[in-house]
Amino acid sequence: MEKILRINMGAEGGPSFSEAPIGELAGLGGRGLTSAIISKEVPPTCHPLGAENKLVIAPGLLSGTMAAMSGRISIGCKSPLTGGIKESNSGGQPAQVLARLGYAAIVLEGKPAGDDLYKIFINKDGVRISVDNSLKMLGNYALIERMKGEFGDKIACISIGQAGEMRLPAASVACTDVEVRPARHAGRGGPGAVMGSKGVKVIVLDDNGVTMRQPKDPDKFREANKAFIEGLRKHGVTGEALPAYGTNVLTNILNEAGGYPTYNFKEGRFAGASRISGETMAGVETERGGVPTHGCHRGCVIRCSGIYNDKDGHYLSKQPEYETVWAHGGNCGIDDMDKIALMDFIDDDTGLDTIEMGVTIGIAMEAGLLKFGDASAAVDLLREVGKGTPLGRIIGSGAAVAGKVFGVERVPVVKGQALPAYDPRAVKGMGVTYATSTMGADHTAGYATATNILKSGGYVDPLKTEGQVELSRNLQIATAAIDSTGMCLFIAFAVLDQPETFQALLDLLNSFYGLNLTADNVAELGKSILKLERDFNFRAGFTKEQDRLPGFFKSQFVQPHNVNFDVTDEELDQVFNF
Amino acid sequence: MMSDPDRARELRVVMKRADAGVFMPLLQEGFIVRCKTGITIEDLLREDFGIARDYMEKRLSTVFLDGQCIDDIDSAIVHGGAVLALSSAMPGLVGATLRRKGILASMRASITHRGQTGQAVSAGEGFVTIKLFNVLAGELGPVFLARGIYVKAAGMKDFLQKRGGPFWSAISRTIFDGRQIDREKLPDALGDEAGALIMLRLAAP
Ligand code: SF4
Repeated sequence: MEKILRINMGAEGGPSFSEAPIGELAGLGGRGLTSAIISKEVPPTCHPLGAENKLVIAPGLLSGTMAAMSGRISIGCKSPLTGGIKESNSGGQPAQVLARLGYAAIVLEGKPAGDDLYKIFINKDGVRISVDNSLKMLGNYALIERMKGEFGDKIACISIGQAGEMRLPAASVACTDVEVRPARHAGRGGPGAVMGSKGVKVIVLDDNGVTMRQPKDPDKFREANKAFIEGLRKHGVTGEALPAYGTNVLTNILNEAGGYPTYNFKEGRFAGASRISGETMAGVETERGGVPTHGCHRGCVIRCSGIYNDKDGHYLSKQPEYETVWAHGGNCGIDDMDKIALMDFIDDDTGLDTIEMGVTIGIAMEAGLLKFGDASAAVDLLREVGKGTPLGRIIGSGAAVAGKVFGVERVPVVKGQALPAYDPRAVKGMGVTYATSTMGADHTAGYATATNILKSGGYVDPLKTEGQVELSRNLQIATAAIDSTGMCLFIAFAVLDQPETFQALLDLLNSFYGLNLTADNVAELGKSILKLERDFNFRAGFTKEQDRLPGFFKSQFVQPHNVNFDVTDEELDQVFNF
Repeated sequence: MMSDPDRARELRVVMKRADAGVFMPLLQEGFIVRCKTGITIEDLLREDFGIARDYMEKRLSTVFLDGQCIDDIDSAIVHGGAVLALSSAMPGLVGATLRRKGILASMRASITHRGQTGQAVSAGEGFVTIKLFNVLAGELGPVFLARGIYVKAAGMKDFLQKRGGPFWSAISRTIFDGRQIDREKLPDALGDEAGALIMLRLAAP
């Protein structure tokens, strides 16, 4: 992780690459690194699909080490969906492999003149960039099978499907999992379209012959990792609920709370929720010989993922996450688990953000193109994207575009990005984060909950009825910091409730790098990342007027609690006052 | 329209308590119990169902009464006809937000239960709908099933028709209306009178 690989796809005479020491960016990883490079090197007003934009792929500070949970990868660019800065995060194997190969980041720059499609192979011996037009318009699954045939099955891949090649704003970047399936995605904000604009179909990584990254103080590091794992295992969320039921365990809870957006955010409860809950899904997976507990990368000890088989016991998709089940399920009035898993597969194969697609289909339903609850029609509509039909391209452009094309008023987006699975009228603190996040409506922006431990914005009295702004601010700071470590954000619960687990995380960083970081330093890191991102958006033309939820959240009350979003604009403007 | 629970026919299922998790779909969907009403959640669970206070403190991390988030189970009153949902600690920002007395409680202030409004609720007996989510279904399911739960006959029929081998191998015998009955005949025996209830009770082998 001492070097940065820059690949200039627009170089004269064909793509060229160079490697340089990380230099002044040392100490940054994951989101910290992607946002630092984008904010410094990409003109904020550039076209996201133009030569000036860059795609930065960065493992976290602890990726490639023995540290548990450290295999998340950050992919940054100027977003074609939001027009602002973007960091999209994914699990899978590439973070570990890339870090072990010694790279703190890969930066794809420039733009090729022709329409050739490239594959890039990286191993200990170097980098090989070659034209392979036979890969054109392959889905991710077929593509990875081809790569396995060519490079063996010990590889990790970063790739795009048809959506990325068509440079659709909802296109994701796929990362292969432990079984070398392209089932983990940096989905949000269209990074796949930027990769497509660079003409890169796939980056194949092979760490054969390289070793694990070694800490400065191995004994302390081992101890810290042990304490960290113990903390995760003994906590109710990371040790029980997530492994048993995955993130979809939230379906029943949100539905009960009346905060489960249903029929394109028209209602707060879905009658079919229990048929698509995490509890039901885990039962189906077990019955069909799938796997309800599975890690998206080696070294994950929470293992919130799983394998979802069809009725005949064959692989259908990885276990869809809560947001996916909601987007294609309750949001579209669909309670057919098999069809939801199929749509998850189509999203992964075509290379699409599942949240954006579910919300967009919901808008098409609201417009009358298909009926709410019609799962087969939803599957057919999604397939249009991969075929590249005009209708498919509209759907693949995301909710904001589809809302305009189909003449729908209730379009749940912020900064052009679709809202995730929590109604901000019921859980208003989520609404504050959706509105003000530098990323557009993003549930992970304020996911980390170490706020009071980090004391990044002062202690917030939990029983006060105010405080959503302060909390949202603290959460966004803490999240930005955790996103830089390469740690999965799900560690946040154990870190929140168990100070010794938070200390173990600090010890991991300190013993690995020979540092003496404190909680304050971590909070400062988070703040500095947010400031960079905010500044980029400002220079791209964003104003506080973009830090707002769509008007219908104020004017339309949601049942069963009959609530609206009533946090004032003045309060929202306080989030970034640090 | 739901029919009178007193007219419900009884389905007794002979099986090990430890296997009660096979009823997860019914437990998460919600079932009706006859119980004390007009008392706090804590008193109801402790006095009526024998659930230890310590267990509640450690395991009941997320609680809803009529869809509202509960922070204090020792002050929220359960009235007749209430819906009480119980869950363990949940992931995500939103999971932390909904958690009882969590540090993010203010983020869902508008759906937080703030005590009874209107008429005072007097203590008595009545019917309450209980929903058990995630790991709590396995842990608390046996407690409620041993005492007997009311579920809609149509829902029970649908549930039984969808069950596969693992479900039936957990069950040694089924007794309907006091008579042993073959599993093949059971769905039809339940009938499909609209709103009719079945009292489902778990019995040790
Ligand atoms: S907890 Fe889930 S998302 Fe996080 S690393 Fe493990 S499998 Fe991946």
